Amino acid sequence: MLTIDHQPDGIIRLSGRFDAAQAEMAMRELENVSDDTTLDFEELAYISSMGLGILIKTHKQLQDKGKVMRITNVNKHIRDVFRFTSLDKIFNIE
Amino acid sequence: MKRMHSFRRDFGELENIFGFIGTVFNEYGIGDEHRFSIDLSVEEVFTNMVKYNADASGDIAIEVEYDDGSLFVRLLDQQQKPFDVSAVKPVDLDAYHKEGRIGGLGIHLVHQFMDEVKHEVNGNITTVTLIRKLSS
Repeated sequence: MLTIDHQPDGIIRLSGRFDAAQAEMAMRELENVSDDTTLDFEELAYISSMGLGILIKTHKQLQDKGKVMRITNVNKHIRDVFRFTSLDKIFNIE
Repeated sequence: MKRMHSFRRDFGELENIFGFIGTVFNEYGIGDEHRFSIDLSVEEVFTNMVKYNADASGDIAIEVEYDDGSLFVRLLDQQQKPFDVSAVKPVDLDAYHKEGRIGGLGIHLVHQFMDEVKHEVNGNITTVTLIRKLSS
């Protein structure tokens, strides 16, 4: 189960597990993001390659508009996923 | 120690698959620190089987075996054209990001998280075995 909660200050909180079963819903939630955005992963326990694909797409759509996607509060396992895919060099992780 | 369960070829089964793995971990006393890598690797192989063997209708079986400090997770699927995930080469990440690609990182991640990935074909049954040494 994944929850995506849009906060008024450009922060989007993701909670739960970002797996392939959640991809369609996540795509709908993130495809219209168009301003500087911080994705807060404090409550996100898990992500698979399907979730990574959506993050890459969101990062690109913001970059094309000259906007920034930041990711905060990343747990050790998700940090490993970013490292193993070199996304730690692409994403702005705080 | 071995447990097996079958799952429909549907991404909606992932929650049940993770539940099954959790139950087996509890039963075998395996620490939660190993869950992420096993869940992710099983999801990547399972979704690969669902996506790239779309004509098949049978369930996908998952067997978990814990033996001598190692975990063996086998995914069994009926495949007419077996796809050897063990032979997938690591993604050239510099080129991947330079080309602005999206997708195609799943099996790459499996090879990063697992100690060994095996692929066997017996008749029309393809078995992918994920091996992770838990004692190391």
